[in-house]
Amino acid sequence: MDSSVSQTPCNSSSLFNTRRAWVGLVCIALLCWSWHSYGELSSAREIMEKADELQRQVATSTFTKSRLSSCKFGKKGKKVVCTETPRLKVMESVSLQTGDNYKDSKNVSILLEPASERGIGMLTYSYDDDTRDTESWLYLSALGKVKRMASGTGEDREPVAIFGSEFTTEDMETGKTDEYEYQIVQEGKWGNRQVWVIDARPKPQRLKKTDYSKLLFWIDKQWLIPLKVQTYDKREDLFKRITFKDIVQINGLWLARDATVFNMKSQRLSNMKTTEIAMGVEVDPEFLTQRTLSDFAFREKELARLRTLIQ
Amino acid sequence: MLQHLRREKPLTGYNRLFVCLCALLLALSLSGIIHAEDNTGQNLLAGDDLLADDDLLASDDFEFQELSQEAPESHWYDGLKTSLSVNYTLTPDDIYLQRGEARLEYDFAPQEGWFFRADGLYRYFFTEDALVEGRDDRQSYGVYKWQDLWLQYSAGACAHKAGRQKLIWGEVEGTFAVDVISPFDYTEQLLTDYANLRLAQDMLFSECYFDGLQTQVFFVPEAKTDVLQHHPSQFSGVNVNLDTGSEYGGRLKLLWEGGDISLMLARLYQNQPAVILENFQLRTAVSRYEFVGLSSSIAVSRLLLKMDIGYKTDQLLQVSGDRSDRLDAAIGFEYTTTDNHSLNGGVWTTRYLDGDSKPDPTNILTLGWSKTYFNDDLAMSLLGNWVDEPRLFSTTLLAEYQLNDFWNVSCALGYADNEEEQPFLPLAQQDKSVTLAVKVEF
Repeated sequence: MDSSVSQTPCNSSSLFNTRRAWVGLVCIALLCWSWHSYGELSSAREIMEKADELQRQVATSTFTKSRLSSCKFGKKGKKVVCTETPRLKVMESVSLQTGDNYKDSKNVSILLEPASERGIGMLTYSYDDDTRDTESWLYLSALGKVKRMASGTGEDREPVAIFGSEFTTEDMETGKTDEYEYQIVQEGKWGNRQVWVIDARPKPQRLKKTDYSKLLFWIDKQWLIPLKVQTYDKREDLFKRITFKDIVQINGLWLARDATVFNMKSQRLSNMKTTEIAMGVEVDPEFLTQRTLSDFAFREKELARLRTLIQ
Repeated sequence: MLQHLRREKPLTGYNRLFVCLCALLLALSLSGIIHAEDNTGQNLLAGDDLLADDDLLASDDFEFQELSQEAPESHWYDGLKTSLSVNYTLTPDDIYLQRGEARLEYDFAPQEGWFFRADGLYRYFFTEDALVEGRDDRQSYGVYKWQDLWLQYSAGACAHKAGRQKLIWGEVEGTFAVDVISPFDYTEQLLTDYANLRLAQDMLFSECYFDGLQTQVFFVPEAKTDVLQHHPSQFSGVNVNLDTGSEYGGRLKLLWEGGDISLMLARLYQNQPAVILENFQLRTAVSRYEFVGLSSSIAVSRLLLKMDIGYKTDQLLQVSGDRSDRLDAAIGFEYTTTDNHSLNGGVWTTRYLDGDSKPDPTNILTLGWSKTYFNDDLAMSLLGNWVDEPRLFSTTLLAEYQLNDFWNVSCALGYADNEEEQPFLPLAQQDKSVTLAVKVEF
């Protein structure tokens, strides 16, 4: 028997980081939704719960093509600029919200760029029920094989960077409003929009699994979406600032197609741009199965159809 | 033997280079471990009034200069991928491997329901490479091989694929209890690129997908056994590329939430010829055999448990030429800690069941660790193997650094303690080695 065949070092750590990140990545693109005015909401908790509920309700089935760029940044005059060539990831994703209150989700994502990662595909089923483990499968193009991954439950997750960017899974989480105390600290005009500025403090059970001691949300009163978020580290020093731009209305829904996070500690920024999106599309349930990872002809046929539905 | 072909005079220049590369790798490792979580840097934005808590509604003139990232138009060449790499492996006394590679991949969907993929690899072996030194003329040379060249058609619940392709079964990576369809390529270095490590075969392959059930069937018109390929056999006059016949088989996979189990049946040829001593002469042969396999993987929170069991009839034994049934069993695990250290391990055991000349049972223990640092740019991994028969211990520390979206540099330190040589391997594990590889992909 040849024993040396088992001597290939395997690096699955980055894959693990990645598999928990894929769903979060889609969530960035779908972060801001609303079509009503919510000025009648009075308490901070009501506002945040309504915003969270809207996020979950809307993305019942969505196709996106996204570009994630990351770089070191510096200041040039009053502008923040990249001081190095940005690293770029491009991917196509299809997501489906399922279950009660759309709290479960199925997502499949295929990396298109960079060339070294092209063809890698990931399928993830996430459940709101904390007793059910997230299920993930990864298609490794080098091996030509679909591999099951162990992701644990939502409850045992630590914040993980998404594709090595400054976005973390924690930045994208929904459905966790009961783990924070909220307070409106200011309201009025911010830029040309009326906003609430809401202070969020993690409760003790949340503190164990968060990088943040405090978050500030600038919530648009009409659209009930965050226009800006600031997070603070455990010493309450400013940690990250997330801004949302290119807010558009599609199918009567508001969507931020551009999100940028500035990490004040590492002096790095990451920009996520949704270049193509089709919302409320009809997705073949078979598409959100392992078949999509290995049956390329089937996958391309469905993706070609979805690409024609871009809004 | 390759060892005998080595230069006898140690080259001090290589010694120095070897030590330097070792030091570089260790420095990289320590740097990754010590500074990985160090995010505290100069805060360029400190004192920015716009960020003060008491001025929350001040308008934001802190403006981000947008990255240029307009979506490009689609082109026919979007499915094209090129990679070039060079690879050096040094031992304290000599260059062991010295080769370059050029790879071209292209895939596209020509029509609805169809998909085409081509993956060609050209390898060039420089004069110092161990495979060149094993040849009579000792001249550098190049070899081309297709890793993929197939057309897929998908309709209804099934997909059908015809052409040059690989088929990999099993759950426990690095073991061959059930992963017996596509032969291992023993002329490839077992280190950096998984995609090169298998010999693709001409094959018809169908896979069907049902609710909670997957089926696979395959047919190979002529099985490949030339796992040593262009490396000349040390047994002169012995043919390792034998005529074979067809292989066929199938797999049934049941899936449920958190786990799956697969049953495999196949009629195959041995992937590697046995060298048999008969009437004081050497000859090679492969046997055709029946194969039954069982695999499963079960995820429990962050722990993934994996298992492969394979039963093979009529295995030809080296030297004696006797036949014996063989049982392989492998169990493994993967676990990722909350701070993303990835741990993996496994045990693979082999038992020959018949005959007086059957080899002793073999047990292989594997343990590994990996983690990424610096925004996933640096991937570190450590892998150790221990084999009881023949006794072997080896460990490899690998650092892979992604310089940008195109360039990748990897460096590996290897240490092995072999009790005896493995004469059937063209590339034997060296006692001490450093590998440096540079790759560009676009």
